[in-house]
Amino acid sequence: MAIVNNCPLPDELFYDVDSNVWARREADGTVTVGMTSYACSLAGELVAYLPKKVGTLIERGKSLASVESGKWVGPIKAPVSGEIIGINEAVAARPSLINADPYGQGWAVKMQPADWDGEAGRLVTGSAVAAAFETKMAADGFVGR
Amino acid sequence: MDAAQPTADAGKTVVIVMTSGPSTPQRCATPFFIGMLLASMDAEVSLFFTMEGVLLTRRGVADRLVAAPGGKSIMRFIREAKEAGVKLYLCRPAMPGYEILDDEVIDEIDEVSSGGVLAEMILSCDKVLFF
Repeated sequence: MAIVNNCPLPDELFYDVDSNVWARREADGTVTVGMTSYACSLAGELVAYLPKKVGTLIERGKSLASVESGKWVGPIKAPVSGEIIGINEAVAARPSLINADPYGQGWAVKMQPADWDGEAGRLVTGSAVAAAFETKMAADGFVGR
Repeated sequence: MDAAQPTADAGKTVVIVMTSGPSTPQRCATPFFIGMLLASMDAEVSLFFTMEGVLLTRRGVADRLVAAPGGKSIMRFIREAKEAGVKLYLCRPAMPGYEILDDEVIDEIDEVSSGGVLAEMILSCDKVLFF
């Protein structure tokens, strides 16, 4: 587990660092996507979660869902291309669940990836996670939560 | 509770006409927030400052305005909207009436445009919002 500026970043996950999202490849080949703890720190307590519909085809980098806090609104971007196959009803009922458990019960969307092997190479994982986020946080001027 | 469904699809174009300005600061944050939300849904969003809204584009004005006590400045909303991909237009014909000079305009404005540009945007877009 990498921890950068008090933001946990499990290093077994795959990260689109620029978009501040994580991806977990499941045993059945699907991908679970969510916001990083860093993204949650920036957004503040989330009050709304607006996912796109199940069955929607999404290109990498495009929005899977929109989330809102009292001070911010923005997209959860797709780390890889694919089809939305699941949205999180628990988060829909309580959007702040993303803040409370961003890597567990606060997942945002489940996808069937179009080309995981072809696109996952763009994502950061393992020992590279900490340094990648240190660089991003420095560029963003984030000193910690 | 059912998950809310997005109302805007990727590729939809939205024009926000921003007529509110410093005399009604409480009306000056939400248009940018809505623009950010629509952009986060992959809509192509253009925001056109006109009427009193042009005053928000004079350097220094929006920095001193908040929509609600303790809130962030309108300038922060403008910047965040731009960062989210909202394209910002300023009405050229309205500038003289509000005594705004070209070199006073904030850097965040993408294009200073005519009323005709606004008219074309309105006729060709999917949705128009007036604030």
